[in-house]
Amino acid sequence: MTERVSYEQLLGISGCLALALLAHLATLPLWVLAIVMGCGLIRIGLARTGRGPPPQSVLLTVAALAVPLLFIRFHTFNGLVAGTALLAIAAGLKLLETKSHRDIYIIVLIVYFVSLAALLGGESFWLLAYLIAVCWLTTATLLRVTSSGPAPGWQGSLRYGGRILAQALPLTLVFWLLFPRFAAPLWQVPNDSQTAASGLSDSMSPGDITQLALSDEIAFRVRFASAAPPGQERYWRGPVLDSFDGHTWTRSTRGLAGSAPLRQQGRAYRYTVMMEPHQHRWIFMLDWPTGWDLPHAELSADYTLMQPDILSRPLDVTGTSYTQVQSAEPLTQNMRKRDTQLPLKRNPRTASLALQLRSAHPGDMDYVRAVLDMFAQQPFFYTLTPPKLSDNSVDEFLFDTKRGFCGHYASAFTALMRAAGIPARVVTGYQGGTRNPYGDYWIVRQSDAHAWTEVWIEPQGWVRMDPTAAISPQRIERGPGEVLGADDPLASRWQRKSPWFAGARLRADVLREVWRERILDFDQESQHKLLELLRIPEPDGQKLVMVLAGAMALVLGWLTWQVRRELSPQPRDVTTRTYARLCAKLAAAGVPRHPHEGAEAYAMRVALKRPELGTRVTALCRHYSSLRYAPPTAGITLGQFQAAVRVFRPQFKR
Amino acid sequence: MNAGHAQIEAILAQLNRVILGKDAQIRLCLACLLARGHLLIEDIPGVGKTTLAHGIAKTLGLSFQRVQFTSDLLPADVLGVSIFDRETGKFRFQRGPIFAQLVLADEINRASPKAQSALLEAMEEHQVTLDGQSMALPEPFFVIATQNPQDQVGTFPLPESQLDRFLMRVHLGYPAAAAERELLSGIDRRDLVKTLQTILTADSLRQLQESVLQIHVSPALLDYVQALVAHTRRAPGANAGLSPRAAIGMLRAARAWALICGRSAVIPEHVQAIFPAVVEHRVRQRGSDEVAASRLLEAVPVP
Repeated sequence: MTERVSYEQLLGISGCLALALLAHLATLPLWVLAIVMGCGLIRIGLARTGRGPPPQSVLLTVAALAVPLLFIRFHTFNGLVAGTALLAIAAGLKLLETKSHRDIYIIVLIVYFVSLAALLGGESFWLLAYLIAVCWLTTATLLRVTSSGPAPGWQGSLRYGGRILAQALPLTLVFWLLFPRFAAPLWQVPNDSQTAASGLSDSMSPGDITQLALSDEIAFRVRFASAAPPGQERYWRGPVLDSFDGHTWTRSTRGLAGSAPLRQQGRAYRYTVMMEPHQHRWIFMLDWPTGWDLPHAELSADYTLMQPDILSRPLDVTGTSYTQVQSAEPLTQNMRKRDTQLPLKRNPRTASLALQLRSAHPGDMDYVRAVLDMFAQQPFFYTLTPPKLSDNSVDEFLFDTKRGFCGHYASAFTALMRAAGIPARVVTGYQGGTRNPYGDYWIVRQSDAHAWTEVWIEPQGWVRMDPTAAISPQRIERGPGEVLGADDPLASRWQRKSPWFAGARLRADVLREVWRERILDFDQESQHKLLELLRIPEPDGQKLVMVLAGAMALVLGWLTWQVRRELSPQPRDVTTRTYARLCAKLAAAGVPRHPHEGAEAYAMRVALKRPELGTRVTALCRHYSSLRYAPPTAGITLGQFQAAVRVFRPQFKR
Repeated sequence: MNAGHAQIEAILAQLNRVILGKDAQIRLCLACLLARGHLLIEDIPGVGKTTLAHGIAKTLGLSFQRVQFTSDLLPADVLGVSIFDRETGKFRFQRGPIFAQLVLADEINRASPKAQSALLEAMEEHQVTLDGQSMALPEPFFVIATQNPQDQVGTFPLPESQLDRFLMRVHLGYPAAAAERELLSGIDRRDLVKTLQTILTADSLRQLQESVLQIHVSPALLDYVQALVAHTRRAPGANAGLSPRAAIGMLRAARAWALICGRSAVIPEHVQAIFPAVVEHRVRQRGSDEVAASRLLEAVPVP
């Protein structure tokens, strides 16, 4: 226990600690990591020159500095981050004073604990894989420290450590499946206010969506119950923007709750949206959502599905949508007023253009078509790098620059509608998505972000109009990456050039998806279903704990049996097995054999104790002796011995 | 084989007539000699050590010499000296008592280490080297050494390295009551020895020694012997385990024992029978003088 540590062992354990703390890189204050790293480097440096740990006073100084600093920073030692920071500093100090193997054992325990703590802060598959690797390495390091002989090669240690971890797997599985689960999580994954909201927001200025289009981040995934709708119908509805100040569209739905009923037409699509946390309340549903399985979510007046709380955890929603609907009720006066408002004295050229077109096309639908024709016939360009626009953004876009992304077109189109007195609004969301061929689901990335317009046309109601489709129909059918030229930033991304990389990325995404669906989403309900399958009706905590205790006892029993077997190997060949049977019979008859007793000596003892068995036992033991120790040609055969043992039935007697 | 066994039975019967009630010890002595090992008999004076050695020599038909070891014994007294012969003008080697087939080294622990080592080297090499000249000792060559228990005054205990050269150490011990009464009523043992018949010739002894090597040893038994040897090396409290030489000797002794028992193969019981005699003088235990061989045996299961 008091053996001194070697340089190599110190290096190994320091590496493990560093790797475990790496998982906390985002949460721990940097100075904490710096202190731990400094401690490690000092100790390694000392060990390199063959010296022991620094004097106690150094340790005390570091501790006296670091611990108050921690308290000043967090005002507590409780809580995930503060606790982990304290633990990390403790590990660093321990590393600094490490001199015997016992110190290393303590650091190993801290490494395991710190790894576990990292899982309280996040639940991604890759994090778990990384932490398992760290634990594996740590176990191998521990094995190297504890091995009594000369340290084996790293490869051997890793293999042995892996075997130990693998042996823990069955019990892990049983506990994961059967450990009593609670409807509400025991702890909330910290909802850090620093986590920036991602994806679409509830306002849109020209250029906003352009920023999104550069991001490869995944917004959500969708699995359709049956066939997916065609590309030009895959519009994922997000926040609806109705208020315009000439430059920026914002959402102003306060006081407008409850959605007007819709008449569904065509076929229904059933699907599950797997949302990534985006720190907003809305959930992207296929246009137009009619059903969902979230008890607390509801549709806003604009038919956007809203959660009561912001989304800080991944969330699965199963919903139904119809791509063709009709409004069942006329537009309310409030809504009509809201959706025809335009800022005064802004974009005057647009207003006059609208008046001019409106006088030529008095019918609403005719007017809409005329505007779309204008977009299609005039030299408008679809580009990711449009010129910057100032306050009168619509005027500048329509008459000067004529270059823009979907946001520009939706904004200009909606403004033109409103200027003509037709109710219209900007809908943001996503359009399209990529199908993952390896997992049969769709991935919708931030680069699929889109903006379009909804126009109220009597008698049909709200009709989706996508001016971008008029400029660049391919964008709607194939996605932005296909449409943009080679000099656009989106197209020049290196990963798009390599089909191998794209394939590997999709495969990895499948793995992540399986992880989420099968592992993370295994909740109380899934557990109940499993238990019903296992014929454990009405499971409660007590029953589950009993099952778990049983599993634990089973594993411990198995381990004990294994160790016993390793200590006293069981006979392998038939002769010894038959002899073992004979001994077992005699033991049952009251004369057990001592392990160190030879067969013939045993027979003599049996003959002394049970004279009536003497002759037969002596003969049998003599047979065994010659079978096992004499040259193979001698006398009796194994078959005869087996037969003789089989018919030998001594009676029990005290 | 059968003829050999009959001879062995006859030898044992005859020796049992001389030393009464010590059948097991006599068998051990014979096994030791058949295994070509040297024998150490440790006991207090007067229990028949010398008589036994005499009896063995007579029965096996071996030339016999006895050396009484004393504290002033010199190596030359054992090995012999070169004497200048005036008539020939040359040195002539006067052979010492060691040039015999069976040498009884009486009370070996009374002599100085120098004299002891002269004998022990001869035992190992089966030859004597004097003045740069090597002389082979007669074949077969046995040494039966006797020693008094070492708590007696004025002795030089044999160091462990020397003890290792004796294949076995046997205690004779006091005779049992019945044997002692018979001993008291019978004739003097020394006279009895003179009447003993020679049962073996040099040839038949060599044959018997050869047939020891014919005794079958199965792999399972080798495992057992190895496990025993290994256990003596790591048994709690043991200072030093058995040497490989001792392990080889142990297996050979077990074969000789199997031969004496009239068996064609060694079984674990044979190993157990010779184990205490082979092990107890070799394996020392911290604190106490010797390790209990039975404890070592009990710790190793029979395969």
